[in-house]
Parts: sequence; structure tokens; C-alpha cells
Amino acid sequence: MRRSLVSILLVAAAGGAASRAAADDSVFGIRGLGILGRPVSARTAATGGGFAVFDAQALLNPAALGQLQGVTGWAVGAPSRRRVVVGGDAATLQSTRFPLFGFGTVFSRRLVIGVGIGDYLDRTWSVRRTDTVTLRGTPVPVEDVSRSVGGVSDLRLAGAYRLSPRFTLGAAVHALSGSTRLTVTRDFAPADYEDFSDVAVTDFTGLGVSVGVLAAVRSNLGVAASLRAGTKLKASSSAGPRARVSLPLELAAGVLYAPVSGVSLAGTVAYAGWGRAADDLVAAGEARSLDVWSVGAGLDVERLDLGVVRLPLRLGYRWRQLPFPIDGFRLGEHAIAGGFGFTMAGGRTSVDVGVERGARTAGAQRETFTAGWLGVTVRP
Amino acid sequence: MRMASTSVWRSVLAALAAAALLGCREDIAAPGQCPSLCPSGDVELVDTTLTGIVVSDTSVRGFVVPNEAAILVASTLDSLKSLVLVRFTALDTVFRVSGDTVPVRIGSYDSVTIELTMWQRDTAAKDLRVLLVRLPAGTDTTATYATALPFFADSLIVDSLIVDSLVGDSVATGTLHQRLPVARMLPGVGDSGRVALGIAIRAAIPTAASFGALDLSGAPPRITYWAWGVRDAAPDDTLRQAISRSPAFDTFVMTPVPGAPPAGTLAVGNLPSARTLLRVDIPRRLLDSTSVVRGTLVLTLTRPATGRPGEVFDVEARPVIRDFGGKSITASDTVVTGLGQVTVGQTGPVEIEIGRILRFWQNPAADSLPRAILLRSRLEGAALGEVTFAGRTAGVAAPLLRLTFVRPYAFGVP
Repeated sequence: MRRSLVSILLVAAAGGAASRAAADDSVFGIRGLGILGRPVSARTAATGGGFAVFDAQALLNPAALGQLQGVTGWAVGAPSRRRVVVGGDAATLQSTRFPLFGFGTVFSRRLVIGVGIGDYLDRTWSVRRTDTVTLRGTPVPVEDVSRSVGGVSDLRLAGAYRLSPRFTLGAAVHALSGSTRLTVTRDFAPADYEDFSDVAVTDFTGLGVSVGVLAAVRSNLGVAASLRAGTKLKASSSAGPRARVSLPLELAAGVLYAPVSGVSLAGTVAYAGWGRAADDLVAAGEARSLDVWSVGAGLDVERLDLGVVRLPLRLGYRWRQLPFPIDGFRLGEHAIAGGFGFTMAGGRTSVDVGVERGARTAGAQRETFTAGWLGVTVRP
Repeated sequence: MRMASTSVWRSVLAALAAAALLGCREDIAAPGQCPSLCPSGDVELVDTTLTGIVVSDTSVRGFVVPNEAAILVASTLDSLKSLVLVRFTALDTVFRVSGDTVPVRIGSYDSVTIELTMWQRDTAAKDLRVLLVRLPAGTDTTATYATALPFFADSLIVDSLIVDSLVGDSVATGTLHQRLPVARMLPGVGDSGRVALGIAIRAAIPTAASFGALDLSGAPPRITYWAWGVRDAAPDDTLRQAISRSPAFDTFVMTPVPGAPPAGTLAVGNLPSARTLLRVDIPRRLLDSTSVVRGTLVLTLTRPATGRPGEVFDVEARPVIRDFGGKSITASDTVVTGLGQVTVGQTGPVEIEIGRILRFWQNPAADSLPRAILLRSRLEGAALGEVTFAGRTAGVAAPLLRLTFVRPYAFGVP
């Protein structure tokens, strides 16, 4: 029990240290509320998100938490490398985020509870632009850099109740919290001019609830669904402005099929009604947000044995829309994914590795990315 | 069971360490394209000129006087005639040999040398010679150009140093070292061992040169006597000793003597040095709510900048911490001082960058400070350069402030 508590505290501390959790840094996060986070496990990421609604570690479906058999803690790190092409200029970028931390424990034979923290909105981006301004009748070269660091994290307290071996219900409350630090600088080429810099910190708070269901229709066929609703997201800037933006109604559903033992196919479809936030965003000077869909499908093969090690292999594809348009164009994202996993310490620790290769496009603007996902799950 | 537990923690720590290492690498700056990939706000620059900002001005001369200056100025310019006067510390009648407490009586001197540090000169003035004359041993601060001039008659010249041959004709600074005639460098009867020299210059054209003074550490004029002595005590012996003498007093006298600037004008620089105090009134809204990126104080000269031909000097602006008029206390940290460069002969406006002072005043901690600026020569006491400029009552020629600032950035939410 003591060891359980230590592991839980370790994971919780890691989660606290990475409160700006986000896996999807993108220059497109500059618009609207940012880039929607993907708080999923490395296993789910490696299957293109197909298993998302069945993922006990992810923050999507609280009923999935019911699959835990004991105290479990998990953490995910996600380094990414991106190439952005904007208006003929290109840049290669890289960053690392920690999109998901959590733990769960079995309270009774039927009840499992868990706490997780993951990325909800990612607002980490930076843009650099050179220009020439005329000052005192003389052209003066300048370089502007705007840099936003941070995002909104989703802290979820969830419970799953196993009504029967085949049917689990779940419910959760979500607290949204986070901040972004936006720094604007202008560097003047001539030393006669002092460089300009200004900073504002915007704090975000919000609440939400979610419910979910997980059912085994047959021994090799499962279905799951979840529903989430939220209050308004409150944003308060140290520079003065405040805003309240409606949060969407989110629906997700999925199917999991195991045609043979050790082989699983899964797909998840999700909808988020971000159109609700459109009026609030327009009032704040942003473009109207849009309702979005996302689809993911993946394959998990656990039949590959390498001597004493069983090495699950994963493959998947995902596609999603993002709700905040760029220059009038809807932003879309797609990626292929793959990965593997292995267990250590007599099954007490499992490590999952995933890689995604994909692109985000909005009109002529394009960002390609390669993201790695490294997940560690501990069952002390 | 214990081994399994250890392995768990090892693997967790290894994975976290790997993630932490990967997390160190971050480069997220992408090319921007406005308006689609730019923040909603914009850096809004404003260029403006503020006139009538000076509400009170005054110039005061005499902060550094010639006998306190770091340089000694000799000049033959039409605008400035100047002679250097140096009185050396007295020669004793004995010397002491290292390690021996018994003084050795000086019998004779076999040579005398002089060393001068030439601080600045105009290399365009060829055939520059430094002339040395003897002065009365009692030379002091009462000397004037008129009283000193008779001692510089050609017939009284002790020796001359040909600068071009000593340091080269294209070298502006250097050390002049020359042997002098012994007989003309000995103290006179009744002078108590004191020797005073006068230094003047001549060149193919009128010019000016400056030499290191007693107040310029390590570089004052120095004369060295090589003395022979006979030890009184046994063993009877004859000894030779170098005896160096630095100035006990040095100064330069000039005509015309700089005075107060004409009414309505202000002055900075020269020796005796002048400073100008400007009390300014800058709209609070500009200091309180903007980011100053450049502030230039523009001064209109009422006559060409004076000084040594070819001299380039800086006018320094310092924020006043306590306003006591000419004796105001200023901040001397270069982080909050402004500079403007002036070339002798310049007739165009002098522009002094005071953005640092304005930003200093923008700091809430500086709210209680007087809005006053003290202008002085950056090398006060070590430069001859002077600017005379129009004061606040000069209408369009009055000091003005060219200000470039950024309006408050319009951060938006979300």
C-alpha cells in the first residue's frame, strides 16, 4: 500500500510539474483558443487514436477507467519535430511536451476511480517576422517575435462502475486550468533604438462533466461512447481584457473488434460542437469557430513474441478537423501512426512507444510533423 | 519480489530521464505571416517631436579649473592662446642610497631629462615643437596669460622638443623624452630647490596640444636629475643617483578666459568646464503609458563647436537625482546616461540620445525624481571641446525632443 502511494505521488508530482502539458505545439495555435489537445496514451496514439474511447488512461471516456485491475500510474512524453511552410518561408521546429499523466485505483470490486491531467488546449507557438519601418524619415529594419507559452490543462476526477462483467458506466468532473505567457518583442537593427518588449499572462479556468459507457457486445466485440459538456472558459489577461468562451458539447463513440486472439481493431469517431464558441470568439476579435469531427482507426497485434519478450505492434491512421480557421480556411490534420510496446519488471512496468507522421493544412499554409510518444505505465 | 520492485523504479526513472532530456530541446519560432499567423495586436510606433519641453535652464562654469584638470593645454590658435605652467617638487641637497640610512650630499648634476605625455594633438599641424622655458619658482594659481607671456620670449627658451622626430608625424599621442641642458635646469639661489617650467608649442599652423597633468594618473610631466654625491661617512665614496621630480603644481593659462555664455544661450565643456542644467516637462501620459524606444535631445548651436582642431568629444546627459542647481547630484551609471558626439567646428545641431533617461523616469521607483537633465562633457577636465547652444527662450532654436515610442500593446483574449 505504501508503494502504491509512492507511485501515485510520483506520477502526480510529474503531472504537477508539467502543468503546461500539451502534445501538439503548432504555429496554427495562434488563432482562436489554440490547438485542441490529445490527452491519450502512447498506445492509443500509435493506433491513430482508434482506441481512444477504450483507453483507460485517456481523459475521453471515464467508463474506460473500469478496465484497470489495480493501482496504476501513467505518464506520457511526446517530442515532436515540425516543418512549417508559410508564405514561401520554411522553418524546422522541435519541442517536447508531456500530454498526459494520471493514476487510478480499484476501490472495490466494482468501482474504479482515477485522476488524470492532460492537455486540453495547446497555446504554445512563436512567430518571427522581419519588416522595415520608416522612423524619422529613415528605413529601419526590425524583427518582431511573438511567443506564447502555455495552454489549458484538463484535470479530471473520474469514476467507473462495473455494472456487470460486460457493462461499465463512468462519470467524471473536469477542471480546466492553465495560463499562457505571451511575449511580444521588436528588435531594431540600429543600436540607436531600444528594443521593445511586452508581456501579458492570460489565466484560464473552466469546469466540465463527462459520462461514458463501455460494453462488451460479444466476447470479441466491444463498443464505447462518451459525452462531455462544459461551462464557459474564463480568460483573464494581466493586460486587462477578460473573455468568456462557451465550451463545446463533445461526443465520442467507438468500436473494438478482435477477430482472433491477440489482434484488435478499433475505431473512434468524435464530434465537438465548437460552433457554440463562435459568437464569443467573434466578440473577442477572432474568427468564428466551427464544429469539428475526428476519426481514428487502428490495429494492435500482440501475437509477436521475441524470445521471452512479447512485443505488441500497432498501426493506425487518424484525421481530424480543428475548430479555429486560419485566414478563412478550415484547419485539418491527418497522420499515420505506428508503434510498439513492451513490459518489464515482471509485468509491473510497461513502456509504449509510438510515432506519428502527419500534416496540418489550412489553405496554402502547411505544417508537417513527426511526433514521438513515449508512455510509461506502472503497476506497483 | 524486492528485485521486481527495484526494476520498476529503475525503468520509471530511466523513462523519465529520457523524457526530460528530450524536453530540453525546444525551437518553436515559425515564420510569421500577417494577419493570418500574427497575434491580433500590433507594435504601434509613434514618431513625434516635442517642443517647449525645457521649462528652466542654466549654465554654470568652473566645475573643473585648469589647475585641477587632467590635461595641460598649450595652444597657438587664434581663438585660444594657452601656456602651460609646471612647478616641480623641490630638489633636496642630499640623496639617499637604497639600503643606507646615511644621506649623501649632492655635489653636482651631470644630466637632466624631461618626460612629457602628449595626450592629444592635431597631426595636421606639422613641425610641431614643444618649447620649454624657466619660470619663477613661486609660480602658482595667481599666474595669468599676461603675466606668464614675458617668460616665453625666444631668448629665454631652455630647449625645444621636436615632436615629429620623437613620436612620428602621424602619431597623436605618445611620450616625449629629451635631455636638457643641465646648467639651465638647476634651481636658482633662493628658490629652495624649486624649479618651474613653462611649456608652449609652435607649429607650421596655429594649433593646440594637450599633455598629461598631475591629475592624469601616471602621466604628469617629470624631470629627472642625475646627481653625483660624496658620502661623508666612511668609506669615502662617490655615488651617482637619479632623482625624479613630479609636479607640485601644474596649470595652464589662456586668453581669452572662457566666461559665462551670452544671455539666452547655454554652454557645455571646455576648461574651466561648463555644465548646463535643463529642467524639462514631458507629458506624463508619454512616460506613464508608452515604451520609449528612442529619445533625442536636439540642441541648436549658436556658434561652431570650439576646441582643439579635429577634436571629437561627447556631450553627456545625466538624470538629476537631487536638484541643487549647479551643484545637483546626478546618476552617473552609464545605463542611464545619454551621449551625443560633437566635432570641433560643427555647426549643425547636436543630438544627444536620452532614451535611457526617459526609460529611467518611466520606472515607478523614479517617480519622485526631478525631471531635470545635466549636460556636461563626458571627459570633463580632459577635453577642450565646448558647445554653446540656444536656450529655452530661443523660439524655434530652443532645445527640442524627438521621441519615438510604442503605444501600449493591445493584448487580446483569449
